[in-house]
Parts: sequence; C-alpha cells; structure tokens
Amino acid sequence: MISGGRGSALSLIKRTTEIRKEERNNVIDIRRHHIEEEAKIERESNLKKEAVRTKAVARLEAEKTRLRKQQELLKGNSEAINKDLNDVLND
Amino acid sequence: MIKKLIVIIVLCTFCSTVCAQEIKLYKAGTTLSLTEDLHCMTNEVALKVSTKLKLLPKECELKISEIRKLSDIEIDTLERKLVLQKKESLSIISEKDKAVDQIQLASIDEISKIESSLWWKIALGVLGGAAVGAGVTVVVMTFME
Repeated sequence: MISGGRGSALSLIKRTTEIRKEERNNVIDIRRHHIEEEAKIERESNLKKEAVRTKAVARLEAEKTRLRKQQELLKGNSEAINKDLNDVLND
Repeated sequence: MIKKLIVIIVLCTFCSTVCAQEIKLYKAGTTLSLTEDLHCMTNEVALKVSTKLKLLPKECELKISEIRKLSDIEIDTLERKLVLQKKESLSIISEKDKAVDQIQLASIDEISKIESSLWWKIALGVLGGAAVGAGVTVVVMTFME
C-alpha cells in the first residue's frame, strides 16, 4: 500500500527477468548439446566413409595384384600376349 | 665410319622404341579404329593395355559400389541430423512454453496478491478518512468553542 503497487510490479519484472534468463541459459545448453551431437554424427559418418574408401582401395589393389600376377605369366611370350590382348579387345 | 654406324644404330633403336611405345589419344566421341598401329606395340605396352582394359570394368564396378555406399552413409547422416534438428527445435519450443507458463503463473500470483490486499486497503482508507474527519471536526469544534 505504501509503495502504491510499485513493489508488486517490480517483483514481477524481477521474476520475469529471472525466468527469461533461465530460459536463455537452457536454450544455449540445448544448442550446445545439439552441436556436440551433430559433430558426433559427422565424425561417425566420416569414419564410415573412410572405411568404405579404404576397403575400395584395398579391393582395387588386390584386383591389380591379381591381374599383374596373371600378366607376369605372359611376359616374354609374344603370342600369348597377342592372344590375350585380342581376347580383351574382342570381349 | 664406325662412329657414324654407332650413331645410326642408336638413332634407329631410339626411334623404333619411341614409335613402338606411342599410344595415340583419341578425342571423346570419335570412333576408335584399330589399325596397324597396334602391331607396333611392344610386349610390355601390350601387356599394360591388356591389364588396363581388364581392370577397367572391375574398377568401375568398385567405384560405383563405393559411391553407392558413400551416398547411403550420407543419407543416413542427413536423416540423423534431421531427427536431431527436430529434437532440438521441440526442446527449444518446450523451453519457451515453460518460460511463458512460468511468467503467466508469476503474473497471476502478483495480481492475486494485489487483489487480496485491496480489501484492507479500502478498509484502511475508509477508517483513516473517518478518523481524519473526526479529528478535523473535533479540532474545528474546539476552536469554535
């Protein structure tokens, strides 16, 4: 009564400010958590991609080695090489 | 004379080697015609060409498989990110709702406090007015006497 209701308004503003501050902090926490989770997903994805690439490179290398070994057997044998090349071209 | 002969032999050997290993590049879209040039290849070049030709289908197959797997991973990642984004948005909305509810409750609380204090304010005003009025009356009557 003495303050003419100003006390109530002030306490309401104070309370509202507190609530907003708490809300802002909570939103910041949520965003931080989201960024961390997203980075985690990105890391996992990159690891998976790297594994796929490594596997593909390894398989290609294995294939190259297999072919190289096959070609090694033909080395020096002109007729066999000629036949091999013709076979590949006609394939 | 011998020197000239050696030079000629070296030049001939060099030229034949260069010619033998020459591989012509064809423009994209033009038809590749197999000519006698192929017969100029050495065994090593022929082997290389053959290996490359044999490897190409497998290489393409592997590349396609790799790209397919990579795109699957990318799609999965994007889906997971989307779910996370949705979760984040819902959490923020819920946080905002909570704050609005709290502000509403605080406002209602303050209003009810004001309303509950109104009756004694009126009573006090009336009683105070009466008391002041009585006091003024008493003072006026005393002075009049």
